[in-house]
Amino acid sequence: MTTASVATKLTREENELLEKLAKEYGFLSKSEAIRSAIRLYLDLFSLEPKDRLRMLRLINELIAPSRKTVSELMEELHAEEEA
Amino acid sequence: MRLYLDPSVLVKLFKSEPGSDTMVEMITAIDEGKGWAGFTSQWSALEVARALKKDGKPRELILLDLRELRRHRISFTQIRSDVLKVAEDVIVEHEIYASDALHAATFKSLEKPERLDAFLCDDAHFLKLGSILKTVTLDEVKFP
Repeated sequence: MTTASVATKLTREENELLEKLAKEYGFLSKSEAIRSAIRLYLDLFSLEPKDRLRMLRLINELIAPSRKTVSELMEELHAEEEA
Repeated sequence: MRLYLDPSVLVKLFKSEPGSDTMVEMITAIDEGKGWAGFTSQWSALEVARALKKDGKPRELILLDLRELRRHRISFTQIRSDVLKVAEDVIVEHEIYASDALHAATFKSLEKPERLDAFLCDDAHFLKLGSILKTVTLDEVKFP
């Protein structure tokens, strides 16, 4: 398999988050974490629509878990509208 | 079924709660056709985005979710001036939020030309519009 190297710039916050995630999820390095993230992203779009929706929902729950229900969120939107 | 999809059900695609699996099944059915069709307003994308933002989702994830929403065969109806006029009338006649009035008016504009069966929502506010909207909840939707 031929490979190519791609360099990228991250903000300090992104770099700190990457370091934290790499450590937390046991990646060998930050590069390994980035490679996995890119493969996940590319794989996501190669999935069948139904599987993609399920996987995306899982990603949403993993990245930003929340106890708010949709009803509560819609109420917050309405409250903003009223304000 | 041919349904208008309110943002209160579209947001369920990106959260795990009762009705989320039904929404995935429904979008799949809409993608496959076979008697299923989904319509909403262009405004819905903004409401979904704002709800996800309020839910603490990061920018990249919100953009990914919105892109996913548009990859399916849901028709996002343009906000026309005649629909806004109907929405104004709905607000004057009922105790309802402006965004909900826009969805109700968009549904009414599509109901006959697109042969819509019902307005699918998970928002109690629409019960106030029972006289002008035929609403259904996810519990009431039956798959073959």
